[in-house]
Amino acid sequence: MNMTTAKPSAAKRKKGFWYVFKKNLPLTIMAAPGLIVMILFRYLPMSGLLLAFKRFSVRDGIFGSEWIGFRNFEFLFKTTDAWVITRNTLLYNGMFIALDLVMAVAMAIGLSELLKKRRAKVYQTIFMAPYFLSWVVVSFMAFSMFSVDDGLFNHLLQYFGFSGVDWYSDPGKWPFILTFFQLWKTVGYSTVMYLSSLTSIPNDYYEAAVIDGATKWQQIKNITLPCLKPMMIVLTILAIGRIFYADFGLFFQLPRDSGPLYDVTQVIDTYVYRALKETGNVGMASAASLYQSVVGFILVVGTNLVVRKMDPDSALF
Amino acid sequence: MKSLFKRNKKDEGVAELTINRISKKADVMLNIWFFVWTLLCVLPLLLVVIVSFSSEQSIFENGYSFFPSEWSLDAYNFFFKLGDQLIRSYGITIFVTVVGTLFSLAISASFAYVLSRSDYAYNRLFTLLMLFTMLFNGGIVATYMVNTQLLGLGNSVWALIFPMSFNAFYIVVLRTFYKSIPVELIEAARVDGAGEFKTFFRIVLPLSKPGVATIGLFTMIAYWNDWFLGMLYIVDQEKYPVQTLLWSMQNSLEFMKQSSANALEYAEMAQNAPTDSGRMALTVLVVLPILLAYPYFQKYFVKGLTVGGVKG
Amino acid sequence: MKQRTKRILGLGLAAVMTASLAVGCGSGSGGSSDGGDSDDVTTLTWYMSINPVAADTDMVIEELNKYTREKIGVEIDYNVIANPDYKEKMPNLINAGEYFDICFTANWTTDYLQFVGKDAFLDITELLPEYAKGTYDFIPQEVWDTVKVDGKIYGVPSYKEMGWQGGIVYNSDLAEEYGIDMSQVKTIDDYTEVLAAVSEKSKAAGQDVIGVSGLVNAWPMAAPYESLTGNSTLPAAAAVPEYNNFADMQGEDVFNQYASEEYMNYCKTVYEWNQAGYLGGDPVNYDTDTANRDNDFNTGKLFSYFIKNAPGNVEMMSETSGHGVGFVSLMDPLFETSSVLSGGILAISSASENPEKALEFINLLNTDEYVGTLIRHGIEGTHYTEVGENQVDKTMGGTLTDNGYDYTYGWQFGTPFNQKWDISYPENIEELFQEYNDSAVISQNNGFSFDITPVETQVAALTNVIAEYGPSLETGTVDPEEYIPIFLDELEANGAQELIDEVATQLEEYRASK
Repeated sequence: MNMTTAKPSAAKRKKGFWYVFKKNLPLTIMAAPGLIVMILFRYLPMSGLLLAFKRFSVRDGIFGSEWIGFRNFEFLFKTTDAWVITRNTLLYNGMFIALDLVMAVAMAIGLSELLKKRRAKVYQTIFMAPYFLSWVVVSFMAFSMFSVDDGLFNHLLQYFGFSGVDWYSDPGKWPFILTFFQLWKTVGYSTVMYLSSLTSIPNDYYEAAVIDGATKWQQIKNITLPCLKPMMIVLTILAIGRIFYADFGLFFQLPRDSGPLYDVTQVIDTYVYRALKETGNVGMASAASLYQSVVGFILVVGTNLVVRKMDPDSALF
Repeated sequence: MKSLFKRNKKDEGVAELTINRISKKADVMLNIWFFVWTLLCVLPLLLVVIVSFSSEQSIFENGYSFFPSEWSLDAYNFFFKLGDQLIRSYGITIFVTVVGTLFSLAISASFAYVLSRSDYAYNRLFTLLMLFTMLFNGGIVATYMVNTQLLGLGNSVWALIFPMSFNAFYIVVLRTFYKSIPVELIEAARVDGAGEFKTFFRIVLPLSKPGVATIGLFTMIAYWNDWFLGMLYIVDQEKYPVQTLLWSMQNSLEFMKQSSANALEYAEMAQNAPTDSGRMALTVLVVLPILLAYPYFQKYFVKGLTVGGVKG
Repeated sequence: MKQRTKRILGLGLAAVMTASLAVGCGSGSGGSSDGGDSDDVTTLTWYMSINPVAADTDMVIEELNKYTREKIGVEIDYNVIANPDYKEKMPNLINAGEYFDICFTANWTTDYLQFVGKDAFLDITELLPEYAKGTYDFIPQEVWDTVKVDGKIYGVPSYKEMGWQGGIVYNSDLAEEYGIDMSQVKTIDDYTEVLAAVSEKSKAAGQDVIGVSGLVNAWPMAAPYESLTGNSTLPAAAAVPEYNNFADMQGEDVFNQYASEEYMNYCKTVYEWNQAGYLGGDPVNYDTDTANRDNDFNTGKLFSYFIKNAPGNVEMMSETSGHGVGFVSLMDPLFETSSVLSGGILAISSASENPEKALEFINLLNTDEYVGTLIRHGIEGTHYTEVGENQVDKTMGGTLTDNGYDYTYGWQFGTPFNQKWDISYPENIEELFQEYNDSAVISQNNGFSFDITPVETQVAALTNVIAEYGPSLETGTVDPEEYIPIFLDELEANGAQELIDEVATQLEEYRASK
C-alpha cells in the first residue's frame, strides 16, 4: 500500500495507463462482477432518460421517437400546485430524515445498553415488524381508527363526551399523522443499521474510558457518537439524494386520496400519479423522474461538498 | 483488557464487573420506552392476524376488532384453494430469495470492498458511476426493453433475481463498514505476503460480519417482499412468486367487487368472498415466514456478541 | 424473446417452417380459408385480459385450435392474464415492443386511445371489410364510429349494450314496507322526498337506514352530457339535445360542465342530503368501500345506490341480495364515444406479421357461435350442457360444482350475442338488450375522438384539481356555494379554457371532414 500511495501521480505519469492498470488488476477483478451487473442492469436502461425529451412511439422505439424538447416537463411547473408539491415533498422528507436519524441512533444506543441482552433482541425483532406491513394494509388499519362513523378514535372521543372529528377532511392533523406513521414504519429498519455499526466499535475504547472514570453520557458523547458518525453521514447523504422522491403509499394510501387533505398530502409522486393515470404518457413519466433525480443529484453533490470541507474522511466521494 | 467485558456477559452477578453498565433506573426508563414502542408495533400486527381469522360478516358489523364476533378460516381457504400453485410459488420465492441474496451479496461485498480502498486507482470513478445509478434510472420502459429484448429475461425466474441484485445504497453502506476496519490490518496482511483475495476473505470479511449480515438481511427482505418484478416480467401464472400470486388473487377479488357499478359483471362468487380478511391473511402469509427468519440474523447485531475489536 | 421462440417452435412442429414463413404473410384469405391444409397453419399470439383465469384454459384452447386450424388455418398462442395483472403487464409489454398479434384493450386496462397514439396498433380500416366482413356488417356503424381515430379504425369493439344508463337500484321490499312509490321518481330532485321518507320511517322503526350511496357516479346521471374528451370528469362537455339540459350553456359547442347551473343544483341537492344525514357519516369513504356497501345493501342497512345499469342487472341482483330489487332510471341510455372505449376492444399490433389472419380469427369470435360459446363457456359436456337452442347450463343440471372454465361474462371475448347465454339470465335477454339499445340516445358527436396530445400538460394539472374538489362536492361533503367558485378558479388557473378551446377546434375539424 505504501508503495502505491507514496507518489501515485509521479508513478502514473511515468508508467502510464498500463502500469496503473496492472497494479490494480486484482482489485479490478474483484470489482468486475459488480461492474458488469451494474452496466447491464443499470446503465443500459439509462437510454430511457432520452424519453424525457421525446414523444414516445412504440413503432419507432426509444431512439427513433420524435424529439420534443422540454415539453414533457411543463406539467410539473405549469400547475398552480407546483409550489405546494415542492414544499410538501421537501419539508416532509427533510423532517423524516432528521427525525429518523435522531430516533434510530437513540434507539440503537438504548438497545445496546439494556441490561438484559435477550430483551434487546426481542425488541429489535418487534421494531422491524411495521416495516413488513404494506401501506395498503396500514391504510386500512388507520381507517379503522380514523373512520368518522366506526373509527376507534371517534368512539373514544364520544365516550369521553367530546364530539367526533372528521379526520379525513381536517388537514391540520395530517402532518403529524403522516410523520408518525412514517417513523413508526421505518425507524426499526434504520435502527438495525446503526446497531450493526455499533457492534464494530472496539470494546477497548470503552474500557479505556471506564478506567479514566468517564460516565456513560461521556462515553456516548465521546466514543459512540463519533464512531457512528461515518454511518450517520453516509445514510443522511443517501437520504438527501432521495429527498425529492416521496413515498407514494404514505401520501396516497394512508389519507385515502382525500381531496380536502391535498394541501398537506400532495407531493410530487402523488401529483405525477394522478396526472398520468389518464394519459399514461411515458415521456412525461420519464421527465418527472429525471427532474427528481437532478434535484437529488444537486443536493447530494452540495451536501457532499460541505461534508468534505468539514470532515474529508466521511465524504461519499 | 477485553476480557473484562467477556466475563461480564457470562457472569452477570459479579459486582465489580458491572462497572460500565447503565443504572437500574436508566434501564427501567429505557424498558418503558421500548415497551411502549413495542405495543405500537405489535398491536397492529396482532390486529392483522386477528382480522385475518375473522369472518367477513363480523368485519362488516364491527369493523376491525381484536374481539371479532365470529371466527373464520375463509380467508385462508380462499388462498389455500390454490393448492399446488401456492406451494410452487413459495418454492419460487424461496429460490429467488436464497439465490438472489447470495448473488447480490457476492457482487456487492466485493465491489464495496474495492471501493473502500482509497489506494485503488479507479476508486473515485467507480464510486461516482455507482452513485449515479442511485440517483438516476432509465425508467420502466427502457428497463423492461433491456431485460426482455436484449437480455432475454422475460418470463424467467432470473428476471426476478438479476435486476434487483445491484443496489447502490447497500454498496455504500457496506463500504462504510469496511472503512471502519483499521488500515493497519490490511497493511499487515500485505506485509505477511497475503494477496488481495486472501486479505479480503481471511481478514476483511470476518471483521465485517455485522455489516454483511445487515445488508444480507435487507437484501433478503427486499427479495422476499417483491411482487412487482413478478407482476412485470412473469406472464405465466404458474411461474409467479408467492407475493405476486397472492397480490394478484387479492386484486382480482377487489377488482370484481369494484366493477360492480356495471352489474352484469357482477360475479356471484365475489359476493361473499373474503376481501378484508383476505387482505390480512395475505399479509400474514407473506410476513410471517420472513419475521420468523429474522432472529437468525440477529446474533450479529447485539453488541457484545461478536468479536468487537481488533487484536493488536 | 421466449414468445417468439415458442412461435417458431410451433411452426417447426408443423414441419413447414420455411413454407409458412414465406406464404404465411401474404397468402390472404384466398389461399387459406378453404382451410384444412395443415401446411398453412399460422400461429397468432393473443394477449387476453379476463378475470379470473380459468383452470381449464389450456384444454379449451386446444379444442379451439383444432377448430380454427381446420377453419382458417390458425393456431392461437393464448396468453391469458387476470385483469389486474394485465393492467400492470400489458402496457409495459407493448411499450417495450414485445411481439403479439392480438391484444385486449380498454380504457380501464391498456388504454386504446393511448396506444393508438403511440402507434402500437394497426390501422385495419381497409382490411376489415375484406377479412372480417361478417363482423363488420354485424356491428352497427355507430359503434365502429366510436373506435375511429382520425377516421381510421384500430380495433374491433365488443358489441354489447350500447351506452350507459344511470339510475338508482333500491331495496324494493323496504320501499314497500315504508310505502314509498318509486315510480314517481324521475329526477334526482324527486329523490329528496324518498330519502326523507326512508330516514323518517326507518328511524321510527328503530333503525338508521342509509338512504343512498354511490354518489361518486351520480353527477353525470343528474344531467347527462357528452364527454368529448372520452373522460367524463374533464371539463369539456357537449349537451345532448334529447335530455333538454344545460340551457345556460346554449349555443356553446363545448363547455365546462362544472360551471353550469346543473352542477350547482346537483351539488346543492346532495349537500342538503348530507346535511340531513341521508348519506351516512362519510359518503366519500363509504362509496369507495364497495364490499361494505354491498353488504349493507343486502342486509337492509342501505336503501339504494346509484349505478350504471345494464339489461338483466336487476334480476341478477334480486337473486344475490336476498330481497327484492327495483331500478329507477334517471335517463335513457346514452351512447357516446367513451361508452365503447370503456367496454372492450381487440386490437392488432402494428408489428403483427399476420394481420389478415388475426382479423379472420376475431371475425370468428364475433360471428361463429361455436367459437364464441367455446371461448366463453368451455367445452360442451365438460363445462356445460346445452339447454334448448340458445342457452347453456354451467352447472350441468347441478352436477358440476367446480367448473374449471366459468366466466361470468363473455363480452371481453367479442360479443355476447355470439355466445349462448347461461340459464341464470332471463330467457329473453337478447330482446332486453335489443330494447335497451333501441332506446339509446346517440350523442351528437359520436365518433369524435379527441387527440389529447396538444393539451397533455393542462390535462395533467386539471386531473389533479378535479381529484381534489370533485369527489367532495359531488358527494355533498362540502358546501357548493363556497367551494364551486374556488373549484372553478382553480380549473381556470390550470388551463381549463385551453382544453375547451382545443376540443372545440378539433371538433370543428372533425365536423368539416365529415
